[in-house]
Amino acid sequence: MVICWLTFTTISYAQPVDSAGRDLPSRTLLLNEVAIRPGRDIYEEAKDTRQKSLQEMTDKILEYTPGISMIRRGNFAMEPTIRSLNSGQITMTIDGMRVFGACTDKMDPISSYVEPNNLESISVSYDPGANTGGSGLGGGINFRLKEPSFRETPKWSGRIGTGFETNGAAVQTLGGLDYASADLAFQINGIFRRSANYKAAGGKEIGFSQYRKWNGSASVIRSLGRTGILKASYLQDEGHDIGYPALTMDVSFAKAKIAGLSYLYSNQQESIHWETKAYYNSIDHAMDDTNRPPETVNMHMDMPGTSTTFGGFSALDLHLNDQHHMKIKVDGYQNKLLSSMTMYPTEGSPMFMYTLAAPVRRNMGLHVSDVLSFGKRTMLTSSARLEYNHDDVSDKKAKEQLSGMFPGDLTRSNVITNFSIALGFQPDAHWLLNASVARGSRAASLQEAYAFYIYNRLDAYDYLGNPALSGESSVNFSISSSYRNEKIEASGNLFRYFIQDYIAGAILKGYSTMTIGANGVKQYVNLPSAKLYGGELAFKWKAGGGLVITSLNSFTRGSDGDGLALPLIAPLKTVNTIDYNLDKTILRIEGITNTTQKHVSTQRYGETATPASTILNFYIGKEFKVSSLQALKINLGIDNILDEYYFQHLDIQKVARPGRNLTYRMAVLF
Amino acid sequence: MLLAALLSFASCSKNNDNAPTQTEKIRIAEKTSSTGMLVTLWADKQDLTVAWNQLYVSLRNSDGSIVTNAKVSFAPVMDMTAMKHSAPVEQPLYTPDKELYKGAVVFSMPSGQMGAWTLTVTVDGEPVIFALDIKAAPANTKSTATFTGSDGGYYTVSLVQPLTPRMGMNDLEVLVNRRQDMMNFPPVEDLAIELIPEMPSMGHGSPNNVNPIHTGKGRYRGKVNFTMTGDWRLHFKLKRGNMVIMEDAALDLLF
Repeated sequence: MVICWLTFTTISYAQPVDSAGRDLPSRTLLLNEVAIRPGRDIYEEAKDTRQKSLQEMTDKILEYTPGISMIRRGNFAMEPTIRSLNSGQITMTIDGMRVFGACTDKMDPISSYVEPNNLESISVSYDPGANTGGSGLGGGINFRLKEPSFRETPKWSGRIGTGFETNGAAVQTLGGLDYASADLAFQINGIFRRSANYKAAGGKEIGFSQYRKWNGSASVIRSLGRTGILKASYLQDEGHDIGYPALTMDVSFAKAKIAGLSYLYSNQQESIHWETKAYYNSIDHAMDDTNRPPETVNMHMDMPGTSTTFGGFSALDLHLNDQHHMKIKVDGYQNKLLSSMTMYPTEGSPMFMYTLAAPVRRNMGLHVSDVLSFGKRTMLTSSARLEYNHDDVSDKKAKEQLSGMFPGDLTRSNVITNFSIALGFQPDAHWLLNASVARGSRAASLQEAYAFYIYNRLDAYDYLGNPALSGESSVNFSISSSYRNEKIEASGNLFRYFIQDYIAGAILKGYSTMTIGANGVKQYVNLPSAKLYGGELAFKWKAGGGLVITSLNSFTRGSDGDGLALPLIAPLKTVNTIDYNLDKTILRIEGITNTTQKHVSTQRYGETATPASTILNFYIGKEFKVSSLQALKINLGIDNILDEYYFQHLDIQKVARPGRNLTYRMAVLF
Repeated sequence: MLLAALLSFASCSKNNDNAPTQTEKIRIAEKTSSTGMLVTLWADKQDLTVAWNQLYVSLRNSDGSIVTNAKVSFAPVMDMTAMKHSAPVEQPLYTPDKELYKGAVVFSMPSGQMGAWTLTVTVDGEPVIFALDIKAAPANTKSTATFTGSDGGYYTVSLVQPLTPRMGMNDLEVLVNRRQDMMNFPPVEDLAIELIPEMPSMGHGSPNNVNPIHTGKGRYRGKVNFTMTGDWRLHFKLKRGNMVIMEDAALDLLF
């Protein structure tokens, strides 16, 4: 699948590799950053992954990243979590642009609007101080979109691909076209995919798990000579008729339009890089219960939602000298959410209410980081972020609705600070050691502040927001080490986070529920404390003869101040892979094991235990050279060879994951 | 009638005393009394319905000047052929800023086959009788209801506010009257009222409501929280001291 590694320090920024000879993502300064590149091979041997991952959903790529677990509500659009921190606790950006989902049930995390076809790389930061995406407790994920690049002599290139999967009779077609010249380059790509209901093990069909979507993106860069580069990008993603077996409703459409315009400048010596960007995105989302059998639908309802964001940032990267590297960024955005529910009883008049009554967030931040190198072995990175956040309810009718629940002024203001200090030490060419302390902080999300009877499927409670909610903050400690020689690479992280004012739901007595069948009503409150600890361990062995063995392991454990297990914490997960590379062919067999998750709190958070599971996957990929075409790549795979019936702890309602699936992918590159 | 109103407006002198200062009032009826006084009946909406209706009276002398100090009273009568009865009334009082006599009548049933409504407006002892067409309440609404209490009394509960409900917190006001005899329905001033709003199609209520308390002349003021639009049923529990007069007097609203 996709292979990733952990990089800890960037000692010499100007070169594309670090002193240990590792490829580094360019233009990043984040410590503990993991870069996953679907379109580019990280290790020279594993060239096939580019092919397969072009058509694999972004969710799958993320699932293989250490520390990332995916909350699954259906066959589509899983929500990424970093070390089990989710939603408002981490940031998710596309090319640095803040994007916020529109669905109150979190059916549309922004990763659902990005396809590997659009992606250059995904970078994950675990450090809230160093994370330039915004403020949070656990860092963030940035999806870097594919960028065209200039070329001395003009050239056209492109790709066409198709794929098919037996489970769900899923089909996909993709295409892309690139043009590169000395001062103008663009790339366009599109993908269409569709799936019927999938089957869990034993051929058990999982109803309402179908989906259909298309996605297209384009980006253009134009050289302005010595003064820089102008770049424009646009992404549009539309999903239709998307089933969510874990929920009582499906999605009739989820549409995203994401646009950005940047001006980039680099000086001759490449010591100054400056990017200024303005962006706008809008998400339109509608839930739909008309496909469900009438006896399961208590009352038909329309649930539309929108999210619009516009913002900008200016980031300056200064490589002052080999010992000193600074980055300064100012950013700001405005995000408006609106979601409502109109219910149609069998007898009586329709009932309308806002579930998110037009809250608006205005946010401005300043981020500074500095990498100081002492000699060739030691590096100290300090980062800080100062942010001002202001929330309000922007619509008069919406304010009226909330007047009955939240007395007084509904505006909220916070000043948020995040900072971190990380020390990296490289005793010799093989070892790399790192220790960091960070303080993360985040304002409560708009949903946590202003939710109006939003049903949480996990504990079956209706949730009310709390405009008086304080933000969460945490003190994070982590240490990591990695070792590398010609044959072996091993790296490990350990972390412990101490969280204050952890946001959770507390039961409100005497409130009647809105959702028929809900257990009651909860309101978001701050719990005094919570703790999170765990680690990741990655191991790779080039055994010789084209054989490579990899093992990726992640573990997290969380409890709140009363010692009760936090919800949606993944158990120990291990992904073990054997790759055999021969000429232009690669074979891979991998096993993914999740251990039992018994550390749950049913009473407070509504969770139940999840049994362990192991599945085996197999892939084979081959590249052919055909005369006029550049390359033809074919990939065949079997997911879940043993047809195991399984689900993971973060699968809402414990809906079974797919059973055996035979996959076929083909792409022609020209 | 509207044309007549327009013409009378157009022909008015610069002494603009013939139109009420609040021009959104709608003229319901107009008559000249035996003493030559023009008695005009106004309301806030076109139709008078089975509900608590705010009614205004403007008085103009034959010379066009406004009468500000008359004693005005209402006497609504429903003539049902076999018998006649009145209805709860809030006698009009002069409000100087509006130049109108402001009062109210709770019409307890619609005009129609059962009978006809008249409103006798008595000005300084001179009666002027208006025939009024009272419409039934719109579907799914019930703004006034009558109940027999546990004390045997015949009570009327009428919604005064909110007349245009909004989502969220609304001021709530009800008027409670009791039948003394067929022609007199005095206000009830000694009750404790509990308010429980409910959405009948959902079976849920709403939090943060404030029970109405007596503010004078049978008016009880509180607050009601509408969490969404739709059909709402307001359940009122009426108590006198420790005795429950009415367990559930319910009014229906739709917005």
